[in-house]
Amino acid sequence: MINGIRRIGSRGIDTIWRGGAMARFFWLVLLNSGMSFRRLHLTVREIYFAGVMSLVIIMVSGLFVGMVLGLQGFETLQNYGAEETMGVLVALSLVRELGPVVTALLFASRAGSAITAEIGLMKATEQLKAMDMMAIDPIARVVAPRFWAGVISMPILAALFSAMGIFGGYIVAVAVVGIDPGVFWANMQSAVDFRYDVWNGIIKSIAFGIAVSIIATFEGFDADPTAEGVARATTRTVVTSALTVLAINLILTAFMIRGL
Amino acid sequence: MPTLTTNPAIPASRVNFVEINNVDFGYDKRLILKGISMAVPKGKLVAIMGGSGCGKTTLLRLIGGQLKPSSGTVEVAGQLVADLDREQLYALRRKMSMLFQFGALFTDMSVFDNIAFQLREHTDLPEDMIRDLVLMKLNAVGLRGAAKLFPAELSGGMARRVALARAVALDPELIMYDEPFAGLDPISLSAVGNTIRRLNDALGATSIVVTHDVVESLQIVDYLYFVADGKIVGQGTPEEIRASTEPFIKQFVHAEMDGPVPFHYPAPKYADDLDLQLPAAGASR
Amino acid sequence: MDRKTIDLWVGIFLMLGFGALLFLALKVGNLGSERTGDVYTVEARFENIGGLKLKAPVKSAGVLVGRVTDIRLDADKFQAVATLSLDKRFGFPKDTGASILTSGLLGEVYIGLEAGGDDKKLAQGDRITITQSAVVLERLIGQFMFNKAAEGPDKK
Repeated sequence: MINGIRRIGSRGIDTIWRGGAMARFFWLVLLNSGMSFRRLHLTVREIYFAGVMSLVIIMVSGLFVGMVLGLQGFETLQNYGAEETMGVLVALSLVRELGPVVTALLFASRAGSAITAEIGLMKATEQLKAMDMMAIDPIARVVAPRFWAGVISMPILAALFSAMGIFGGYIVAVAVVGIDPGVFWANMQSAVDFRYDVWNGIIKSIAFGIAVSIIATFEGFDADPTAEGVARATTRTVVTSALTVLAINLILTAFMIRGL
Repeated sequence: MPTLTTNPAIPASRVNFVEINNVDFGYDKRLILKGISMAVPKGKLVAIMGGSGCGKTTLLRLIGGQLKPSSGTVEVAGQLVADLDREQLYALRRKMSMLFQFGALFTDMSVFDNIAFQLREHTDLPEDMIRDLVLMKLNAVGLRGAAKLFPAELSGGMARRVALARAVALDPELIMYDEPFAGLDPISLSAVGNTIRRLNDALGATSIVVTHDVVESLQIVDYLYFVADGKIVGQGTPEEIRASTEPFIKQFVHAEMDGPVPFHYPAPKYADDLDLQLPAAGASR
Repeated sequence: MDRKTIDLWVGIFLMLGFGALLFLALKVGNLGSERTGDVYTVEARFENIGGLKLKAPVKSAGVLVGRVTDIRLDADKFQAVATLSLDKRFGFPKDTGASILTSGLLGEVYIGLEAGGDDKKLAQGDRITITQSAVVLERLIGQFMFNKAAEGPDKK
């Protein structure tokens, strides 16, 4: 029993320590970001591997989620005679919440873990040390471009997720339920406010992009230089990213909700 | 090329490219290196030998500035490595290069790009000039035909040679080799050893080889240091080493199984471990 | 993966993303239909604005013609002052009436404009003089019960 409490305590201290280390790492990455923009092709290459390669999973997932929202919402909306507001339900759910959050979770699983594995493997095979000995800062050359690629890709992917989701909702609404397309779009347009809904969603996805990217790069950079260490690091990336994204989501939503 | 001289008018740094003075290094309470002092004259090829885990690689890290000594000084080209800030350290590192134990080639780029890497990052040379330089370096290690291959497609020996070519891409003044002979077949071993010697002389560079391959080292180096238990237990030219009667060097050079470096890892008595009751002395078996 | 292919795909990726953002902003949201700068503001005073909120729509004959851009309390007369931003395309007579209405039973609160007959039009900064405050449900019930009680014994 005592041991259990001791373990919780040491885990807690460990987490706080890691948080501090990650903050220092974040600062280092920002300081060394010049190269990512002066030599844009480095970042562009990473956008390809993180963003473009995630297109399929994001867009397909978005489509599915949008369709499910439409189907699930239909039954309840029907009770109030409000089927025609299905577009509103789908659009608001996606743009405000599901778009940024689910995209962040999927991105962390796919691109985040790949980044962690890549950097961790470079560490395990001493490639980062070799670069350091060649007087090339590995943070500037390897880490920062991947970080900025994540930050740039995330809002784009979230927007695509939401767009595909709305399209999915449209399919359910028009093809399955039989709502008039004009009414669908009209209701949606009058309920979705750019500044409040879409823009806030974009802000959320940027925040998530920063969080997931820094976690993924940090875990890779900090991994134990063994096969087991890299495996542990990729797991940590996905888990930590998920928890952090949901926590940030809670905080941001609390601030953004008007009427409180 | 300046040679070893005892003329006090010539400052030591012009004679010794690397000077390690009474260096201690350790983590927490455990000292890995105790009171190490060694000098590597400019233009010479020096070997640091010792058993596994005795701190040889740590010495290379100290010289390269990746670690700071707990006490004592490490001087490279007249500069105190531990006192340099990041900019100065990077400037110093451009003059040196290191061959890592398993090559540490960048796996996401081809052999050609690996060697061109430093040229592209540190110089403004045009691509066609870089191409010529890379092919020249590859030719020196006999792998010009492998330029388009990727590290995953190379054998251990080939990877090591590519890493060698990469290490001399910028014609460094100090080249450090971490176990360059480990795991190589005799042919590759001889090739690598010869290349190390040729490069050292051709570039006028200073080389430090960390290894435990006695046979090859004795053939190519100018001087050897022996490290055991974190201390220097012997040093000398190849002839002196071959003739040495000092127990550790003798065990190492003649590959004796047991000697100053014990065969058995410290353990309780054998009989006790097996729970044996040995018969009293004198009783028959 | 050579540079040209990567650059092409990243370019497509960025364009797709931008397209998605535009789609969300214009087709899904209401960015396109709100053009600031083409509006003129008028004032309207109410005894009670009920559930009227900022950015609430202003409609005439059910058509959206503007938004409520400011709501404040006149501390001297204790009246609610609402600022309406109206699309310049629509001109309203000076004796237009503004009422606070609810769309549907549970819908959002908006301001409905009923055009009057005056020749002169409302200009920037003018005040709508004819206003009808929001219907407060409690008062309505209270009124109803008062009336019922007043009719009282005769109707038993």
